Amino acid sequence: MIAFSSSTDLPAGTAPEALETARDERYLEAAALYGASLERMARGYEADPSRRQDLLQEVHVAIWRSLLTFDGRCSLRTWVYRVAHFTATKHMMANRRVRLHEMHTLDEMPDIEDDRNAQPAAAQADSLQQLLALIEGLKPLDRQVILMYLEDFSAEAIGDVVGLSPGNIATKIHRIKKLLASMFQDRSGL
Amino acid sequence: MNTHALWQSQPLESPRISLQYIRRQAERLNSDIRKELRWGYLGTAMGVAALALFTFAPAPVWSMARVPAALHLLVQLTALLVLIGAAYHTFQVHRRGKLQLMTQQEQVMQSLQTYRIALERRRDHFLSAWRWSLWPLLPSVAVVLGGELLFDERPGKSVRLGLSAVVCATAFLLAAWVSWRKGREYQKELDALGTLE
Repeated sequence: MIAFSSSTDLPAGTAPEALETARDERYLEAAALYGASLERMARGYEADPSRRQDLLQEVHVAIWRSLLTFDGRCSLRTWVYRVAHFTATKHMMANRRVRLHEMHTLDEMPDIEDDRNAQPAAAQADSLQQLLALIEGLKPLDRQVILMYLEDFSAEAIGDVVGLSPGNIATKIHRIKKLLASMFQDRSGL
Repeated sequence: MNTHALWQSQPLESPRISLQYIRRQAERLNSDIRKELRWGYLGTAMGVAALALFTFAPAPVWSMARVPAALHLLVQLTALLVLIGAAYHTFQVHRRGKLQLMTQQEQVMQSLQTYRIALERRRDHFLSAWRWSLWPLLPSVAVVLGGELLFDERPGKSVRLGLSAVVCATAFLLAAWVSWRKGREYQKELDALGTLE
């Protein structure tokens, strides 16, 4: 489990107004850099569009609040994703409790055969839906891994966020690649 | 298009979230605990004000109401005990409420493990509430029932005494049941958290 310090990287005795300003600046930086990625992440946690908006707002509020104690011991990106995934998991528990037992780990997921004939342009939306269906069937930890994998995080960066070793993450990524390959047999560059 | 590109090229539809909006939303957080604290303080203050009238009412008021001296003392003693119980209860609500607020603040930046600990605290808070919130009121109930037993000379005393005991026991059990139910809700959330791992 990841341990956090509650201190900030600003000197002790910094005026509360200065801390607030630093937080606002960090938040704006985070929102500009990772806003789009966070919105995609929200899509991976919440299928309903209106509740997805609520989740995204919850995530932004949680990030803003947490940045008051951001200590700079990890990157801003790692911090933002830790808070975001934690908040999304809480949201998922609150809204979709009934279906939690139906979620699987990556190892439990059966290989998915792509039974569509390749229809490149028309199939793109279907492919996205299929990808979302795969993500929605995963338990939170594996969901975090696949969402960050799709955002081009390295195994080490994913490990920093979820608190697992790069070796563990590499194993999970291997499984993800296999699942994605079985879903999209006709596609390359997975 | 590979899966990374497929994922990253999906259209985004959310409007930009402003800093002002974030601030407003953040202020609304923890409102449930704050509301609980506010109601706790308000209820106690009203109870204390009402009971203070009984406890410190001057002797002429009691004579005007033609209350026997023994009953007068009994009511004052009960009111005093309730006041002490209410003060203790307010102190506990304040102390425990502040702890919950602090925990909520910590949760934002930490992990599911911290969230689990916070849920466990909330669960234990409600499951143990009957102990710290009800027992301070027991002495006053004992005085009321004891006083009725000793000083009530009217006919049908045992029926009234039995009825009073049933009303008190029902009120206590109801309060304990409400707390227990809240505690069980937190336990359910903890169980749900367990299924995620």
